[in-house]
Amino acid sequence: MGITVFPAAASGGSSYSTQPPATASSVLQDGQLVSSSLHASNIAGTGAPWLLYANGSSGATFTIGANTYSVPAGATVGTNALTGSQSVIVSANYTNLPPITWTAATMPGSTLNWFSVASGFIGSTNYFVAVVNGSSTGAYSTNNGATWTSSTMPGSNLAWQGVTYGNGYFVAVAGNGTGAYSTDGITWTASTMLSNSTSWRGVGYGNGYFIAVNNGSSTAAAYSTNGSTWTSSTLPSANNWYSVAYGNGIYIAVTSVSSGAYSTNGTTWTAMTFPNSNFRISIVFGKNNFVSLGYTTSVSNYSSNGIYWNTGTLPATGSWYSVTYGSGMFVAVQSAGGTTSLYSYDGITWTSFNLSYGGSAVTYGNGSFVAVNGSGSSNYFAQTALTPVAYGIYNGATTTH
Amino acid sequence: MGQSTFPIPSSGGTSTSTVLPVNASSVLVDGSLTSASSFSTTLSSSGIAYLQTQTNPAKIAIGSSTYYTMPGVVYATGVIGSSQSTTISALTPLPSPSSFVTVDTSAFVINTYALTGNSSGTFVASGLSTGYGATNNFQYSTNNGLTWTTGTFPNSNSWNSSAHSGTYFFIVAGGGNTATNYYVYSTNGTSFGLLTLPTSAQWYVTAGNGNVIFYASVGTTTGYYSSTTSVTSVTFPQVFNSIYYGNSLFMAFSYNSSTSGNLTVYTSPTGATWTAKGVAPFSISPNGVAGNPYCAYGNGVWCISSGVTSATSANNGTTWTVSKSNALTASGGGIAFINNFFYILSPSQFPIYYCNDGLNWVSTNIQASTSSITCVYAANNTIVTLAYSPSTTGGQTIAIPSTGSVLPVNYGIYAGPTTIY
Repeated sequence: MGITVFPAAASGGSSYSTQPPATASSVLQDGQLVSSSLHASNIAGTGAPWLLYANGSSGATFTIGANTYSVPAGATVGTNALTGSQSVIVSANYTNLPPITWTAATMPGSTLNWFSVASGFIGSTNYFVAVVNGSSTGAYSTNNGATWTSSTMPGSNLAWQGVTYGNGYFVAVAGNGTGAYSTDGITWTASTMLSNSTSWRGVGYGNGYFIAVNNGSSTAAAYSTNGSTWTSSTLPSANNWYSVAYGNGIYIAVTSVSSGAYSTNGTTWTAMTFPNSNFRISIVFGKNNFVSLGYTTSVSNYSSNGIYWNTGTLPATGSWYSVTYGSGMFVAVQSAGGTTSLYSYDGITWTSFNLSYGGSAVTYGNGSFVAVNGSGSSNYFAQTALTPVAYGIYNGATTTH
Repeated sequence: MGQSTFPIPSSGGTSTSTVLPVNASSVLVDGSLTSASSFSTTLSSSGIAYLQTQTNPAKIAIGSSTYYTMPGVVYATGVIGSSQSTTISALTPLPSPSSFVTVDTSAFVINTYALTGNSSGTFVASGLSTGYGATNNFQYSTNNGLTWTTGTFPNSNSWNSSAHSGTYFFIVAGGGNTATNYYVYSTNGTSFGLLTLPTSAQWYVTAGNGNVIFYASVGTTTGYYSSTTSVTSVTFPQVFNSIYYGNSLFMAFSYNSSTSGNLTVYTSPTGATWTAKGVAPFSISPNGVAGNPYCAYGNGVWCISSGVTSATSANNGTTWTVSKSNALTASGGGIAFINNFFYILSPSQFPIYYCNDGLNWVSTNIQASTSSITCVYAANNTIVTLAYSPSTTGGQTIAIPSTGSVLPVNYGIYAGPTTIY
């Protein structure tokens, strides 16, 4: 029989690899995604960095707490030092086929104005959550947007305009000056948004903070770690702010004029200027670039640092209302029934496709793009999981200096 | 205890590797091919297995799946079931430096833009005159590119793209900046008949399995396809920048308008209808021409190269795996697959690279004497290369061994983690 070069973990049993990477001290967990596209668990860290390994049809994506690590097939990636129980999701990668043909899905209620959608894992289940501008009816889907179940938002028919996910919380904001959060995507609890605005429009998440911005011609913004308790902050100009995104260590907020704002901590903001004076409703970060599309234009902007921007040309003029990133591509949709939609593999070069009813919002999660619209329906485009994948999570070297 | 990494023999029952690949849980089988060229056994597993060979490359067939390994590289399989017939086989030898023969091309009366060949060792080179103008001359060789003869087309033109369908040689005019509708065809590569396409463009041609496709890499989505010598019009879903043939399919690469985004991939069995696949991980310049990115099919994968990187697709372009950065230390000038191996030849006298998986390239000690290779074509166990101006900078031919096996092959097949989700 073979020699086990590295000692098996104390709790290893027979299911553990016998050969961790060099410099690893023990096996924390390993396995294979064969019939399932993901595995979720909690793993206790001891203060050392972890080593993540994947091999198979593709690599894997490891989500550890609020951090995501992409591990190519055959590669080993190190994490930062991890202590205590960590939520770990190992996901297979997905194909990145052009999202040409979407499937329509029925939303709850009668022709509601579905206005925002978000996606995130609760345990091992990915939830899509959608909210309505002007109704207490919400919805969630646990099968990648194929079918939806109604939920109830707090308040009476509030103007829910933004929803996002981060670190185990769905957080929604409403134009009536209130907000809500949910830890299961189904049941919502009202939060007391700050009185510095009654027109909360957009909410984003990154690096531990939810950020809310207003479109009430004011400088009001707010930040929160859980969507329940908020702290006020001030944007650099009194404008209609619509969206905020995080990437490369910086938060970027966009507004209805050529100016925007950036923040390195989510609490203090500095003005920046786009190269063209367009109305921007949505911004996203992916493939090392922030990407935002000009509303009712054929102009896009992209930037790796969020401060100095490049300008691109879209294949069509549209009421670009939402842009998202996932599975290696950007997808943009337009409101008011504009059916010409766009996808891009780099955020610079875009290709158009047709999407019934367009979309007030589009998001990505667990291999699926989901777009909701103001005509009471939604569409989804599901990629295929690249399984099988074998993975290993290993404790790093135990001697630290 | 104390065994070597890949012990001998393979079937002894005690020859278990001592050092497993990362994440492997146990040894399924290992050993060494030293005198036999193959070893067969039966394996059972419930999930992914890892494959590794050392010293020399090999082919490992497990059930209905076949994997090609380069020495020292760990490969992951799909899910292995119970009682899988498994065979580890050594591969044919690589060519020796002495087999790379520089041939006399001083009598060429053309500058070469296109090269094609058939399974009988007839190669046809075409292009422009040595003065960069239209010409009715071409060059052909009936002995694997060793000697060349000047032939005459029935029309003077810029003959910038060629292909062999398995039945016919096709050479189309219209490359460069001139739109025409002429093409020529031949069954023997020495005498050609003249035909016309319904419309003029800067045409390119590709062919395989009795089918031929004419396409223009700029300006139009109109193309033509045929399994005879008369063509049928087809509207491509996008302007196709280049089309290749392999695995009973045509594979087209397309960029959008004048952008530099990554290439969208389409496939078609005959050229009549096209299916959108995935996106290749490379982009090309708007001025890219047919043959770029360089592409070949073999060992179950499509392999494309661009610059110093390559990528493969095992599912006809739906998904792609990219090689490590700088897998090639010099930009390739052409890619060919023949007798188990992909070869990449640089246009600037760098060594030839080879591999059998399209990703893990190894530099050979074979180096072209031609400093500006523009055409590479593999047929009849031979790779023929020609410089842009053969009359001054020459060409070479290299015979690829089709028999024999390279030993030893030290191999190991390992079970992946035992927990399956």
